[in-house]
Amino acid sequence: MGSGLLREGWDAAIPLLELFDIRKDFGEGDVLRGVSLTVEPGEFLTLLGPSGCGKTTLLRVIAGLETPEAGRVLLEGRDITALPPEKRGVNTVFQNYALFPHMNVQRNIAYGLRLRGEKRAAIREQVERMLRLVRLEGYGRRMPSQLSGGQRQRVAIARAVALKPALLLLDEPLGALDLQLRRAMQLELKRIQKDLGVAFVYVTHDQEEAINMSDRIAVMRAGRVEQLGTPEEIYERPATRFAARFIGQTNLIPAEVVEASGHGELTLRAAGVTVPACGGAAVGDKVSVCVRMERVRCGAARPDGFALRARLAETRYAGGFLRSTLEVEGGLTLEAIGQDALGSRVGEECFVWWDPALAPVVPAEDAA
Amino acid sequence: MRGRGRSAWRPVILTAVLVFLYLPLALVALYSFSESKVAGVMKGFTWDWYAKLTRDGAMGQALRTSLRVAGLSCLVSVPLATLGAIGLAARQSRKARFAKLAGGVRGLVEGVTVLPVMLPEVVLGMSLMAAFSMAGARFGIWTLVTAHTTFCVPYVYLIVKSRLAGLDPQLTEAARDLGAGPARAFWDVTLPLILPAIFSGTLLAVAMSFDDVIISMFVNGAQSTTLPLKIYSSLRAGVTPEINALCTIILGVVCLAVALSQLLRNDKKRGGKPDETDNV
Repeated sequence: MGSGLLREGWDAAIPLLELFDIRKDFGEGDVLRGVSLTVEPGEFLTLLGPSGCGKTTLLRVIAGLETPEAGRVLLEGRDITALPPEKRGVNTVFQNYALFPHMNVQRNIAYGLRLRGEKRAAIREQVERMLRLVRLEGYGRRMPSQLSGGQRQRVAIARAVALKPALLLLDEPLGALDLQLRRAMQLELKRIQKDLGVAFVYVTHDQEEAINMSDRIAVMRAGRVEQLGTPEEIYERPATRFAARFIGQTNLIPAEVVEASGHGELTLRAAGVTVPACGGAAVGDKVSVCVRMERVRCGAARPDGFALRARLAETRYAGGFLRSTLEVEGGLTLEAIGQDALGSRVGEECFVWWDPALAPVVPAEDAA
Repeated sequence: MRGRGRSAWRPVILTAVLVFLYLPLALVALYSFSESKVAGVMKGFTWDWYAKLTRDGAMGQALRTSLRVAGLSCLVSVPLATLGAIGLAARQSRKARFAKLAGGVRGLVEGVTVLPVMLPEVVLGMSLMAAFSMAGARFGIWTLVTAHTTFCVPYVYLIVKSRLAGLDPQLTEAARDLGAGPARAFWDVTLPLILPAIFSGTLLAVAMSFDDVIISMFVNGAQSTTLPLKIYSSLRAGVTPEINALCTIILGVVCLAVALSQLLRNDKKRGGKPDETDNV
C-alpha cells in the first residue's frame, strides 16, 4: 500500500525539517536553550530525555502550538516559524490521544479531510484505508469512550496520518499503555511508519523504545540536544556522561589520561590502577571511562594483555541474566551483567578486563 | 465506638432537617387539592382551584409577564456570560511575562462578575431602582429584564466556566493541528462540549428569574407584575386555595428546571481531562 500514500514532489537534497537555534522560555527559566537539528524525509527521529528536558516543548514548537522566542523552523525549505498549526501541514499524535469525545471514530478520522473540503466518497475511502492501516476495521461507528486505550491510540494515529503529512509528531504516544501493549505498539508504529514512508519525530523518555524504533536519537537534557546520532553511535560513542548513563547500563570510571597514541588509543590512571580505553583526549585530561556492564569480562585465569585483579563481591539474578559486583584492586567497583555466572564464585579472586576499543571516554564533567 | 454512636444519629438528624425544609412545601401542595375554601383545612379532593386559576385573567397576565422576563433576560445573559467565561479562560494562555498582572486583572473581573450572587438582594434592587430612575427609564418590562439579566449572568458564568476549566486543552489543539482555524476549532470542538453547561446555566437562570420577588419589587412597573409579585400582593387578602395551587405549579416548574440543569451538568464524562479511569 505504501507508495500510494507517499507524499511526492520533495527535493531529496532538502531536509524535510530544519530547526535553527530554537529558544523558548515560559518566564520561569529557559525550557529550550538553542536547539538545532534536521530531519530527513522518511526518517524516524526520537527526542529522548528525562521529564522537563524540553522535548515536548520542542515538539509543540514544530507543531506550531508554541511560538519560540528565537530561532527558525523550516519545513521542506519553507520558513513556517510564524505559521499557526492549521497551516503547517504537520500532524500530531497527542499524549492523551485527544480524540474528540463527541464524534465517533469515523468522524474523528475524517475531521481533517472534511476541513480540507474533500469529496464525501474520497473521505469515506480514506477513512476505510486508515482503519485498515491501524487494524480497526469495523470500529468506525464506535465512540472513543467505547474503545480501550490501545484502540484509542490507533485511532489517534489514523486521524493524524489521514491527512498524509510528510512529518508526523508523536508525543509519548505509548506512555499510557501497559508494558505488553507498549511492546506490540512499538512494532505496529514502526510498520505504519515504513508503510507510509512518513517521517516521525517521536518524543519519549523510554530508552528501550528509542533504541528499538529510531533511525536517529537526539538525547536531550536541560533544553539542549546533548547528542544526536544513530542508536548504535550513541551506544558505542556517547558524547557525555549523561548520554552514556541514559542509554544502556554502564560503568563510568573517573580517570586521567596519561598516554594518548594519536590513533584514539588511550592509557589512563584511575583509582590506583592503569586502564586502557579509546577516544579523542589529550594527556592530562580528566575523563570518565565508559565500560558497558555487559562488556566487563571476568575470569580466574589471567588473559594476555590488560587485566585487573578483583574479587567477586556479589551476584544477583536479574531476570534472564546475572548481575555481579566486582571489587577491583585500588578501590574501584565495577558492575557486570552476563548470560551466565562469570566463572568465579562469590568471594573468590579473579581477573577483570575489557576490550579497550569498546570502552570510550567522555568528559569527566557535563556542562551545566 | 464514638464514630458508631454518631452514625446512629445521622439518619435522625437528616430526617429532621428534610422535614423542616420540605414539610411546608408539601402542605402547600396538599392544601391546593382541598375542597375547603379556608386555606389550611384539608377536606376532600378537588382540581377546582387549578381550574379556577386558568380562568383568572390577572394571574394569566402575570404568568405571561414572568415568562417574558425570564425568556428575555436569558436571551441576553446566557450569551453574555458564556462569552465572558470563554474570554476569561482564553486569557490564561497569554504571554508569561505579564502573567501576574493578567492574573490579578482576571481575578478582579471575575470577582466583579460573580458579586451579584453574594450581594443582598435588597441592596441590588435598591441600587438598580435608583440607577433606572436617574437614567429616566420607564419602569416596566425592560427594567425588569435588565435587572434579571444582572443577577442571571453570574450563575451562567460560573457553570460554563467550570465546564471550560474541565475541558482538555489538547482537544482544541488537536483540531488546530488537523487544519481548523481558532474559530472553527471553537465551533467544532469547544462549543459542542460546553453546550450541556450552557443549557444547564440557562435553566438555572430561568428558575432564578421566574421566582425572584425582591429585586422585581423595586424595578417593576404598574403594567408589569410578575407572577411572584402577584402572589405576594394577593396574600394581603389572606392565603387562598388558588394561591396554594399556583405555588404548587411554580414549585413543580422550578424543580423540573433545576433537576434538568443538574442532569446536564453531571454529563461530565465527555471531553473531560483524562484521569486515572482512562486506563486500558
